[in-house]
Amino acid sequence: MTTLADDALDRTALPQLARKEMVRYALHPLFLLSLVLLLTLTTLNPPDADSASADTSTILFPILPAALLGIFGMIIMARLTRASDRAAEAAGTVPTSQATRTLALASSVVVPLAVALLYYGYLVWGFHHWPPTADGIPVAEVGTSWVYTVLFTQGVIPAAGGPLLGLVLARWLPQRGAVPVAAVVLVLAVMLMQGVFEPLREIRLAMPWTHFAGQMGAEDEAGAHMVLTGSPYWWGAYLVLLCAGALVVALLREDQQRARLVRLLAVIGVLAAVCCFLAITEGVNSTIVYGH
Amino acid sequence: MVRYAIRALPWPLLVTVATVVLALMEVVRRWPWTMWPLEGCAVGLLAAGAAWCCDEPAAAMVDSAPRSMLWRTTARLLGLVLLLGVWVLSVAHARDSLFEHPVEVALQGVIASAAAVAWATWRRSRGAAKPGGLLAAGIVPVVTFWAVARPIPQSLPLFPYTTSVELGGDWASSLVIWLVVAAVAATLLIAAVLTG
Repeated sequence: MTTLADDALDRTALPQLARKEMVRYALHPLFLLSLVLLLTLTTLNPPDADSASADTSTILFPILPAALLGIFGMIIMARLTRASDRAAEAAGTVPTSQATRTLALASSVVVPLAVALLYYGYLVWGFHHWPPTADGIPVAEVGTSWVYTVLFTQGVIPAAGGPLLGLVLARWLPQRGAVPVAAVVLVLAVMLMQGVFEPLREIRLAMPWTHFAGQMGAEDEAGAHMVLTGSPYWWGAYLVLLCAGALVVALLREDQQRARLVRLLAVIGVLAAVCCFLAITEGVNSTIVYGH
Repeated sequence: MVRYAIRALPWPLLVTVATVVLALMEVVRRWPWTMWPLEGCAVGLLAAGAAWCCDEPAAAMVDSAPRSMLWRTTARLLGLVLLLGVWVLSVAHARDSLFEHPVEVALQGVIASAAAVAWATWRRSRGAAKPGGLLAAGIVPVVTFWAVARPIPQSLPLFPYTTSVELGGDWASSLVIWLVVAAVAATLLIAAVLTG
């Protein structure tokens, strides 16, 4: 049971803790490495006319921030969470609750999110600077807003989603090695559901990352370039709800207000299921094969 | 030595790693053209598993015991034997899908694991208790990213793909890179044994 004094202390401690966690995130060696890789690889591989990406411009580029900020973020956040827990354990009785520390850790996702937003700006600019070739992705058919949304959902939301998933895993699976193994399992699942296999193309939108366009190399249509079915708008809403759900699941680790959090999680779960259903059924309704 | 290894190694984690590596290589075996990045992910996870074998949570007590670090590291190699056994079996099972280079693929896993053990042992010899966890936290995201995004396949073909050099199948250059990694790992391991 918390007292009013505890609540007041938590409220005043949260902004300070959040600032500290943001600085720790920004200075984490893995985050700095991800920044260096993002900058270097972006500079080395512009989608100009001579590149292999000339027909899709920047549309396939969000895999860079998704992996470098999302997958790296899972590991960074798990390590920050463990460090926070170790510090609390070493201090004995700490004045702030685990929920406050969880919220402070979650606040630090603004760091990768800010980088992802800057990169999103580059991707949008790059899309206009190096437009797809004439036989490339049919922008007239899908619309520019479709392009902007795909770039945002694939490149920006994972920058928050990855670290939040790392937070959940660190809270619920404290065993050694659980988060790196989970990251590889997630990549395995995403690879299988990226849209390459025709029977999985519709339900692929249940995954936290998938393709909407590109070269799909299934055996019967080897190397065909296509725009896949589904609505990136609803999928984006689904991903935002997954992020919100992850935060609630991380907070559920502490008993305080559990009943309220479970009710909130149920609401988020229902909304996420609806958005996922709409992402599958709305938008581009049949696969568009283009070019080549 | 075996009794020490049974008690000291994180067996549930190693069995999980071995299972995931088997699953990754089975997917590669079935769909090599589209799922090839998972081969690199398997190599990264294998190296992480090898690094975890070297962690010594009770270093503060164990390091002052009469048994030398060389003895304890040798005992811990039992975990590495499990991981490499699973790796070699999975590569052998998938050999027809590995673009005619099963030996090079097998070497990638063996050298990556040996390098992880060498680095972790060297850090252990310098007093770090759990260097494996730190190394694994770096290896898994970096190698997974490199395998999935294949950012500069012509310049740094860590995980070559197909038999065509134009498509990123520069197996000869890749072998040179991996042999350099092996040489660095051997140097580190010798340094660790001499100082530890």
